[in-house]
Amino acid sequence: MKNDEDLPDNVDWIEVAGKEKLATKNYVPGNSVYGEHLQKSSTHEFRIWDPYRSKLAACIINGMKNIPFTSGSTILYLGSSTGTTPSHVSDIVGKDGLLFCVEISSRVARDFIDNVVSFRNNIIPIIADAHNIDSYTSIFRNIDSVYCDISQPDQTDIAISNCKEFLSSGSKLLLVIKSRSIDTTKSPKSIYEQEMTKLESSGFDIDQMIDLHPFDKDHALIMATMR
Amino acid sequence: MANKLILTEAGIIIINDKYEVLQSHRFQPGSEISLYSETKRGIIAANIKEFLLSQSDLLSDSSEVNDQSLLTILHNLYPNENFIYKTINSSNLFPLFVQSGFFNSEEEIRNFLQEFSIEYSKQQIRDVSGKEDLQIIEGINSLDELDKAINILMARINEWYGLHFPELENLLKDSNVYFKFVSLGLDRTSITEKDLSSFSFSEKKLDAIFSSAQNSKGGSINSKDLSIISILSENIINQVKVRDKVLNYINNLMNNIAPNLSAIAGPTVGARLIAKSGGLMKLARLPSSTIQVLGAEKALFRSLKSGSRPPKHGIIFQHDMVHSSPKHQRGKIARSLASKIAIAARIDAFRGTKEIDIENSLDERYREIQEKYASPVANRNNFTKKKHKKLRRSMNEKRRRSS
Repeated sequence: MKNDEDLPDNVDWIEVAGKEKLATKNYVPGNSVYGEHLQKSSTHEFRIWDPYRSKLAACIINGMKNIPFTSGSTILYLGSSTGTTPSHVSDIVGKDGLLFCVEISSRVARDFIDNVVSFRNNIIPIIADAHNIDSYTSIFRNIDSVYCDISQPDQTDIAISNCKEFLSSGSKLLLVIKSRSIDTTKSPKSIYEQEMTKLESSGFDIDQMIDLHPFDKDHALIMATMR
Repeated sequence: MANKLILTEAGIIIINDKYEVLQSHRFQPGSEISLYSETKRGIIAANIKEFLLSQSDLLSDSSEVNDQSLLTILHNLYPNENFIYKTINSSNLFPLFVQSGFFNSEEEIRNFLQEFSIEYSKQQIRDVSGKEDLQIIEGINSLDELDKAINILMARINEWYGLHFPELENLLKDSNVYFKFVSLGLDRTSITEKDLSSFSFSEKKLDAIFSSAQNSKGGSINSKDLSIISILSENIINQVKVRDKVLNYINNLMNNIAPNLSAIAGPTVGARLIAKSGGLMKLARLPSSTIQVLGAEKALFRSLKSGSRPPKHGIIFQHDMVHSSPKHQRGKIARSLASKIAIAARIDAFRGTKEIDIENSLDERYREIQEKYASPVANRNNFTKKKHKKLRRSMNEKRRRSS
């Protein structure tokens, strides 16, 4: 599990109080976004990445390999919420990278801008509905990958339409499947299957599907490549 | 071939089909946000209008536009031309920014866009936060929280003063009078008639208070204990006053913003529905079946999952018409009430005028239900139980097959 080679750039296992914990190199040293622990090593400062609060951290701990986020990549992030995960992705992409973060709710966007965006110059916030691609701020760089974490019954369709608009062939989509948002009456497993079939029939190849148990109940993260 | 017109945060660019910039109009530096957001709302500034009108030879039939509101603006400026809406491939934007002379490097674009998007987002947040239904939501939530706090504290003081004078609770049933009494901080063994002159108690009541004060089962208490109980009690009396003010405020606001909804559902139930759905506009877009069970999500999802009987009412149970009716009528009344609430919310959200017809038709249906279903239908319960048992069985089978 704890193999450094599989980790994205700027991510590492850090020992805190005798336990190995996932952490990202702090892009803004001294700044803790949501009260996470800051740990200084000899050369860098690290922010501990809590898998119970961030699904991306949970999926890395559960064994997701070859995450497409690297130093310098440009990412379209749908559903940034208050910015827990985006802040760590911002650590990963670093100063040459860029994050376009789409969020529909102005209430959480308020916290996102105050606590995250104002400290990090590699994030561009967009308050818009991810259904309406034309209401986005100009996305002037090629998007390398899309991360989608939206609680909507049609979350997969939203992710697909955004990928079709901004991704080129061979690029990756990371999609959080919230089975409880899609249909509460079906079993989570059958929903994961159903959404994977939907992706495959819309021109994606599924690379990996990781269940986020025990960090999140009834959630899975799918990595797919656009054909 | 047709040219393309592109709206960006920094200005408007016209390109040909080879993605070469033909013309561009840079928004005045410093006012990009207001110009951009006005254009997005379909309002056009004089400068931009002049620019668009001067480009008549570049903007011809079937030119492509990347923004819906700019498309509408163009159709108004050029009524005889037919423009087409089409998004632009994002990877081409960077060279266009440079070619049109808006920016010289990616660094510049990045800095501009980051600053722009933060300010633009702040403006969007400001616009949304200024909406009046947000005031209703916060207002009704504080009312509910005040109620909760007042109830908890009242029970606590009942207990505390009850150690000293337990009989008083039964003598003074009106909680306002009770807490006024407690706030005087009186030791029951030394109460005089003068102490109680601010109350308008009858002779009989006074006698009862004095005699039970003398023969009380309560323990003794010192003045320090009494003074802290009295302060707490005063605090409650103040909170009740605040609560009434908040209630009054909600009633006024609801009558202004949602007159039809307040008339049908009542101001507080209407406000709770707005709070639960997230706003008047959102409530107006809900189907009446959803409105009927808003607030009963737990029961609804339990029913969807296990096939048990669905809830008949959520928040609207608090409406007099529903909770004061016999049990067997409540489902029907809740259904018709929810449908009228849906209509009322839509009128409030989109038209904003007061309509009396809905109120009348609701009353009519209410009376009809009362007459037609005056007594519960025999065996009906048995029938629905059987129906749901069957539903449950088929659902379980389906689940077995799918997993």
